Amino acid sequence: MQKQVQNEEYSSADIREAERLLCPAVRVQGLEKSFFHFGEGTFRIKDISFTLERGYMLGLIGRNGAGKSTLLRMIMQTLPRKKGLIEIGGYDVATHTAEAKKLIGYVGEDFHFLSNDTLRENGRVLGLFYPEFDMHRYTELLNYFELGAEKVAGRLSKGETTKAQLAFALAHKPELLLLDEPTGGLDPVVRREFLNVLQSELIDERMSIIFSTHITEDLDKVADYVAMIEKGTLLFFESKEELMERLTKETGERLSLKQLMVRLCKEDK
Amino acid sequence: MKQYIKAEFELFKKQKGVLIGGGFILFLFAFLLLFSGVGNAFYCAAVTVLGCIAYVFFVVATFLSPASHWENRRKIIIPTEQMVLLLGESERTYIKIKMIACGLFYLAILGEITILQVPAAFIAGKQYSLWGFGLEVLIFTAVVFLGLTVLFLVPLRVFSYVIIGWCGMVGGFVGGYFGVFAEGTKAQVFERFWLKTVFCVGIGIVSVLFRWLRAIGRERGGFFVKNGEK
Repeated sequence: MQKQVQNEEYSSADIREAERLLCPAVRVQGLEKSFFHFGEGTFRIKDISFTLERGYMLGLIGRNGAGKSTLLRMIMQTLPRKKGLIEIGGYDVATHTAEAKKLIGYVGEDFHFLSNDTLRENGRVLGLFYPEFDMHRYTELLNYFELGAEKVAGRLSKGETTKAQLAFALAHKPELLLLDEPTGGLDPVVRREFLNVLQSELIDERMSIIFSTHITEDLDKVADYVAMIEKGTLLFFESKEELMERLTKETGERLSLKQLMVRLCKEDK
Repeated sequence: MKQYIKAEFELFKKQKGVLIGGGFILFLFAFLLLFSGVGNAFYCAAVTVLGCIAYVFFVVATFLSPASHWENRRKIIIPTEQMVLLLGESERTYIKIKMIACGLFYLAILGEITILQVPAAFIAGKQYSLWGFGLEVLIFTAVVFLGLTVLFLVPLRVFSYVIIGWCGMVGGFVGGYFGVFAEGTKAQVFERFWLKTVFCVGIGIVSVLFRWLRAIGRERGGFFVKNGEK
């Protein structure tokens, strides 16, 4: 009898997990935030809403200071929001903060390894924060990026640090990967490797990626959706194909993302 | 939660330099406490300040992580808070663990003061009085709870500047009484000091509570908001 009850409990938990997996990777609704800087006035994130389904990559473009990193930090909950709803993998960050954050992998300038320790030791210590951290996968990815696990983190170059961060982020099996200008310091060969890894991670449709970058050529290759932020406002959020089709109709010429960004910024000025 | 405590403890253990320094001061503190029964009020106060310094060492090891980077030829140490928030932990859990850690360090040093009263009483013989013990507890408690206002309210990016100011303030606070210590007996000093300690405990508790409620508000997107919607 007890066994039967246990089985029922397990199955209901499984059902809950299955239901959660049907939820979008990230849902943002009516997100608002304002900062005041002396001499510069108030910068506002205004009513940002979008939904990204699982298995897709969203390319986030915009000028410096447009609000891209702020948006990512608000999703990460390292920056509090003034208003709005953020759901990650079905978890509302307001009520299930830790559960939601455990689903996020982050690669960006804010993340730092323990500088005096090797990458292996970093994986062992920092991996403890994640219940699903896979040390084997981490070492495998470090080897793929030609980074020895015995390298000391403090002696890595900028590009190597980014690769190590990506290896760490992927090793805890995130459902949402946030990339904040990751390819800026990488040479073309490493950039290609980096993008290849991202594409291969999307194949099983479990993970989604938000990729904030200035290098729009990267997004031309890998993004499924493109969103542009300008002065804290979301100008558009569309699938890349639809966006290109629409723009071709409107302008009569085939624009790349780079040309689009330059044109929109000029119009705004 | 259990795994998170384990992870934070691993970060704490990595601060070997700070922990060895703190351990050495703690040992010195224990040695000098043995003679607190013989010493006057001034001696008891001076020795307790050493215990407070040991406490600061251990607490700093929990608030500053072993991660660092170089910026304009300056080594920037990453606060544990920034690190664990990026590593997927909630601010509420972080604050909870810090409250527990600060409490445990406080109780551990308080325990040390209490246990060492036994050998101190043996050494002092008839000279020994419990007022010295009371004075040590009061000063230690006042400094620790005053420290909580800094640890829980000051953003860690300005921590190094504030901690210097705080040390000056506490130095003045305790040091200002050294003249008083020299004047009175242990019992008289205790009588003058206890209300100030109660005040320090009060503002320490208020600071921690304020930070706790602020963390809840930040995560929900407003303190009186449910499920992030207004």
